[in-house]
Amino acid sequence: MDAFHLNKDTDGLVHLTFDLPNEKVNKFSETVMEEFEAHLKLLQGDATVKGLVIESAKNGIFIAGADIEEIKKIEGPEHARHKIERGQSIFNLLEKCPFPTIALIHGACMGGGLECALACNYRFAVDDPKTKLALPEVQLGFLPGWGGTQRMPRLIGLQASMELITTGKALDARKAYKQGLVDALLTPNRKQLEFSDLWKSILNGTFKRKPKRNSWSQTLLEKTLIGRKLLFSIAKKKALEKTKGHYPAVTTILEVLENTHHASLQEGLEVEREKFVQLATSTVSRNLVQLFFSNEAVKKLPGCPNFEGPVAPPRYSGVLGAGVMGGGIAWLLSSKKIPVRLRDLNLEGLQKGYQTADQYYSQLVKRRRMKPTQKAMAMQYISSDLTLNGFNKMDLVVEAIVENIDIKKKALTQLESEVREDCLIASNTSALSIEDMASVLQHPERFFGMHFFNPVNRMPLVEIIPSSKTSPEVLYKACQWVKQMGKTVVIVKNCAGFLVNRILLTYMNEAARTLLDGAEISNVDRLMLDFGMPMGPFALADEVGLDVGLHVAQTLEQAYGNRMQVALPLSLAHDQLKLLGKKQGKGFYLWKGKESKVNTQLVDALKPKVASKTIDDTTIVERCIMIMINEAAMCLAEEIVTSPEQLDMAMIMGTGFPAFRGGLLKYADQYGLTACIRTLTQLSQDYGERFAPAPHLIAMAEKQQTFYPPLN
Amino acid sequence: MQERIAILGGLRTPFSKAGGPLASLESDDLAAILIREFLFKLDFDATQLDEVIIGNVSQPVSSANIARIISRKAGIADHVPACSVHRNCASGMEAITSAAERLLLKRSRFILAGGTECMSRIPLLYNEKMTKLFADLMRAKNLSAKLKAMLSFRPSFLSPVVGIKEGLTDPVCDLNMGQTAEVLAREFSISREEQDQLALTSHQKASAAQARGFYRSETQSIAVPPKYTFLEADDGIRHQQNMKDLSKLKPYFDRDCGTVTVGNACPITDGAAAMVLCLESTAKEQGLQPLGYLKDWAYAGLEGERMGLGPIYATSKLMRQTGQQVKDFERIELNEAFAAQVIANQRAFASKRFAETYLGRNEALGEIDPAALNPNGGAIALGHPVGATGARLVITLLNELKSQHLQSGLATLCIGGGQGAALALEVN
Repeated sequence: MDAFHLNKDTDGLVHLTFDLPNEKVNKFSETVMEEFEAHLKLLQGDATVKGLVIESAKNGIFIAGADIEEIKKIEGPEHARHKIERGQSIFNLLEKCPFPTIALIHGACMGGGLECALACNYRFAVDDPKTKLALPEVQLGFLPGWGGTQRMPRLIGLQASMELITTGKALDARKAYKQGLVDALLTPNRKQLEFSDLWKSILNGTFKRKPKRNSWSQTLLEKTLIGRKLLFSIAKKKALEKTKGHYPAVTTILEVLENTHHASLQEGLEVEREKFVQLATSTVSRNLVQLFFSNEAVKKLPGCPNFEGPVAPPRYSGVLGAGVMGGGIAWLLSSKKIPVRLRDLNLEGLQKGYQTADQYYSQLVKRRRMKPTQKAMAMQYISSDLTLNGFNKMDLVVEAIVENIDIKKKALTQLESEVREDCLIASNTSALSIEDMASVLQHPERFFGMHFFNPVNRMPLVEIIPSSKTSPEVLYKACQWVKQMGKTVVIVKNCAGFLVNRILLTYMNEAARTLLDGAEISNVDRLMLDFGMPMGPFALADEVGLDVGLHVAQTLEQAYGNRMQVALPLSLAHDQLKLLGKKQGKGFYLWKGKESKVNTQLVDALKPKVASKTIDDTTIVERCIMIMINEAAMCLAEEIVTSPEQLDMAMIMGTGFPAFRGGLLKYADQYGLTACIRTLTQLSQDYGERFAPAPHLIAMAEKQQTFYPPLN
Repeated sequence: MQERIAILGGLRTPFSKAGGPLASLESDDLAAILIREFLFKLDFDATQLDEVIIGNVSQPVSSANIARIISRKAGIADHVPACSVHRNCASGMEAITSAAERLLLKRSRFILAGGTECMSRIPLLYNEKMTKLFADLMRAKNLSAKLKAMLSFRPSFLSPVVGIKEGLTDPVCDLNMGQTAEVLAREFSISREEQDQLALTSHQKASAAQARGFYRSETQSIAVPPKYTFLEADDGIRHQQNMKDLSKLKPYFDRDCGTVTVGNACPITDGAAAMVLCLESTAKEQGLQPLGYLKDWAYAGLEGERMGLGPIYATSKLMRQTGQQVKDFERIELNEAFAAQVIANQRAFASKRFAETYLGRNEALGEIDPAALNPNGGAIALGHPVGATGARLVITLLNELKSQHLQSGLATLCIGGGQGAALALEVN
């Protein structure tokens, strides 16, 4: 294979251009690495070579990293060890070249690509938004194994390396230059001219790297033993807080950095290698690698009609209902410079919409991602009205009004008389029927469900639910628009609760039901947090609002019958005790700012309904998770989504289901489908028919199928 | 006479006393919000606009050429040029008349004109000594130069220059606006009681107008950050104003023997106003229904000390242009910068001697019918955001003429620095 082209110029400078045939990106597969090694050996034996510059012919990509398909196929520790040894030795070879080596980085330089650049003497980056440098291996559950953990700290220091390697975050060209990761910046239009000037200065010895000026704190922390101990202990503590021990890669990276920074390169590389092997063969890493591929698959928008051509964003958009969701959607649209008009019944309603959008912008300003003047400019895109004045201009209107089918239908009819025929209308309903809403429209072909998650600024998922009448062109446009706004689309077939809420509500109901069997609110929440959920179910119920949650639960009970029966504690809390959740300050917990304690009033009110038995922790978790698995299997059978990857990505992105477990269905595979059925059967005997294993699950187990193809 | 200018609708924000709700919005943000709404309400295709002209006095440093920034914040396309104009208190009118000139020259077909002011945010400035210290510090090339600069500091360096005080003082005649009102109070022998009475009338008329909803159609509610509560109406009107309360105030501009108080003067205010203009023929051709028409206008100059008489000078000039008489103006909006200044104008309009001495006329200009003057209250009650008022007067006047089924009106302002502006407006 000819992944590289060589070209030696009259000065003896060799340009090694990486251009992987038939691929959009350059990646280091095993065969490419072999070819690279062969070229290096040849060049090292050639006395006329005065220097080597590694470039890429791909637009927007320098080298995207190692071939992840190959990583997915790693069979075991030996295989992993071999891969690492090869990469380490090839980059060592690069480092030892008897002539200056330069990486000319224009575009994405990630993972193995950055490790290659780190092994060069110099790195020059083109100042272009496409240029990004990162070591994102941690996001796949392992660490940089080709020298990244050794060469980066020696270049830019411990603290900076710790942050970059444990988060995997990307630096643009300027930031990389400021940190010393890159030695010079080039401008896109003059990169060859500027490069050749720099090369000349390297040849005649006048090239000056940016002097590394360590701040006081950096010197103290990194260069003294006590400082380093402090640095690492704080970092470990923070890592454990964030990952709760579920993502071993983070702490392992810190260990490697701490233990090898004073070691020789060779010793350091050995430690790096062994830790890589340990991590890459772990279940967590396998799960994260699978999720990488699932995410790629989901990004291809399965189920979206296959039209071609660019889609211009909406010129004007409107949002009916300026509550938290309406305000959040307005925030999203305005942040993409799409003028958005909020409409509500009264000024207080509009106020809430503005406040929500303002709040999300303020968070960005606080995190220094946005300047106050930029926030003022962004808020200007949001206007409002109590009438539908101006809606004749709209290309897109989203209704986010109260969850009442009659009110929604009325609003949609009224809206339709104001908007153009080709204006897209979407509903943000969580649980009502898209088909039913479509029935009141004159032009239902432009109507669909577009379900955002709360809070809109942080939840990446959007469920798009076409009705039977939604036209393919409209569906395509809708998917493109949501993608342009930076969200991940999953197309879901119309059913009550769609995908995420349908599954989530079984979990919420079940958690509530465990209270009637003697479970304690705070304990259940703790167990689910330990399982990996971002929030316990009762904290979540309070956050969402008990009225909102109950309403969805009732809608789902109506649609699905007994297995979705509203759990008594939910209806008791809302109907009898008039609890609303966090917004009111009391729900399952009593809230004061961020502090919370269990609402003993609710506990007392529930006491008479609690059966006099006990329930152990394992059963609580089993009940909550198995009921979801069961429902998910039903969703797949009904083709609510068309693949397990979509279902798992949706649950992770929509509810924060733990990624380290690979997703709900991956977890089921790892638990074993036969074991799932056994557990479900036992639970159905102990706790009720709702646990009866779904026919789809039974069929799969009988045929010895799994949701995901087995590893090798 | 030149072709009339059609005024296609007009909209303004509520006027709010400085330091109140509108202090949270810089003048460009406020105007942009208003204009975005205005274009929706007018159902006017913004792509038809050829220009944007905005009047603004304080010209905040962060919004160089505020009209341009407002235009783009309001969602008007990049290709529409914009410029900011300044004729002190008549900046709002200057925007309108500049637009008129360009329309008549046929350089543009549709122009968005208006005015905006956030007097709350007029800054305090470092004085000259402190500014020099900063400059010396920045120029200092080594530690000893830096130290030398810093050691020159004296506490008096911190004494700020109050922007609004400076802005409201005429440096040529060295009088602030209130002091020019005192000049007129003396020249026309206007008593404290008479001024307070006019102030009271202004509040009463404004209060009644607000109560019967007169201002509702011209006012756009604004959601004000950070809480985004809506400001729906002018908040300066004192509905319970009475002579007793007014008499308690001490004279503000001449502590020793003055008559002008903060009660019988207009308050410092924030607000914005906007309208779209085109030639009458364009409006006819497009089947548009204008709010009214600008028939003609005039600006006149006089001594800065007597700037309050600007209206009569400008009106006299206007009347020579159009051939109208004072009685032809069925409604008159004469800006109430100060009660003394309004009364001075009333007396001057009615005075043959004044006309002979100052206007080169044989007869008095013409007595103003009190029922025709500021029938819905004036700036003393509503406030005077200096860049915006000129535009507001035109909108309010046309709305008043329309609601009373009248035809012809006059909007006129006194201008700090010694000028007057007068606009002749018609409904049909």
